[in-house]
Amino acid sequence: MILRFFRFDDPVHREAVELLPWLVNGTLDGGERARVESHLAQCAACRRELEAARTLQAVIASEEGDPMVASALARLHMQLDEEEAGYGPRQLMRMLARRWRETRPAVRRTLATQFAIILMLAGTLSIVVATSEPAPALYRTLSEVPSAMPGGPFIVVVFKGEHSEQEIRRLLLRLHARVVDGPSSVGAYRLELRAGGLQDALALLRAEPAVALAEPMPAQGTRSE
Amino acid sequence: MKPDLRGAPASTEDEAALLRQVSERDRHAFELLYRVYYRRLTRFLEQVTRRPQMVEEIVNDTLLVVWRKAETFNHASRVSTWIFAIAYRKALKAMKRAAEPRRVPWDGEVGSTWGPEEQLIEREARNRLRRALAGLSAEQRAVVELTYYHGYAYREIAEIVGCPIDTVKTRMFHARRKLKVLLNGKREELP
Repeated sequence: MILRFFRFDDPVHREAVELLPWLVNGTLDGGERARVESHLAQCAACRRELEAARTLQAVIASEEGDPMVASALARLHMQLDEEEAGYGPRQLMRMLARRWRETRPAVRRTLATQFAIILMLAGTLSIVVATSEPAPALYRTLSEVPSAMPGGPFIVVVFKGEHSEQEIRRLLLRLHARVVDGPSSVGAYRLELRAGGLQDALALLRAEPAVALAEPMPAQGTRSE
Repeated sequence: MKPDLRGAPASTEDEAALLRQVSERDRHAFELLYRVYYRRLTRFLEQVTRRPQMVEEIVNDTLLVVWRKAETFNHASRVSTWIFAIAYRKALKAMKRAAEPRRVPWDGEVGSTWGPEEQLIEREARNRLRRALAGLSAEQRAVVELTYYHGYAYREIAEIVGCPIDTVKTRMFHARRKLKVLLNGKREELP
């Protein structure tokens, strides 16, 4: 049997032949559909083609597989769980490598340039930090003795609230001590002994009714007894 | 009226809403979307690749991309077009990895020309058609399948397979001509 499939010299026929599959599946727009149907009314060859296309569709559409959706879904869930639960270094590197491969070359170049700039800035910053003086702390605690602080020994004292400034002054004069810091938020003062022994001073302070607490504190980075 | 060939339980709007939820890492929404697409993608990929053993992996790879990249979908096209396009690219890559597309040898049997539907839906005719479809290229099978089974317009098919509209029409034309030749078992006189 000899079948002429196509007449290239007739654009209307050509369009109809090309579009028949989509006339069959119902997706042609109004204009295309009208042109093809109008041509079909007068072209026996196209009507045969239409019949063949419908048959092909019927056969293809009736073929059904037997997909095992539940087991396949379970496997994918496991994959997602693994991804979400364990982003260890290896998975992270694998993910980064995959993302890198999927990235367009232009984007890769931009990212590589950005990364190089970041590395350069980080290098510069580390040099600046390494060569500069440490910044002074904005605050310090009473138990902290700056290494640069001269003198000592030092004692932390907490006075009882009911004693007057006059009594405390008299005590400090007996001790040959002066207040070098405080009061802290808990009412502690730092005293520096200008003369006399630390143990004697501590014994005196602890015997005083005006004193709630008296403790030695390290001076110049070392702890005194 | 457009035939409902795709077996899709969700409307275009439903699918778009589902994808938005997926982009917010909603596993339940993802499972629903998976179930909507599993059968459609399996069918499509079986027809395109002719390798049933690799289909599930491609389906899962495809939906994994959907899970990871749901937030990048711009809603300019239908969700299904986007997902099928991912599946098609995955299929071509998988086939490339597994060497050239396998062709089921055509035995050259001379049969009757296409006749009434009743004759064609007989078992033997189905088998012959199946073998004839296997004789097409993967690209041609994709167009045939997307048209006749999944009911896509040729513009959407162009989007899915990533080629111009005229190429889709040409592929379909050549596929039909080849099917006709394979089913008739002899070369016809072509213009």
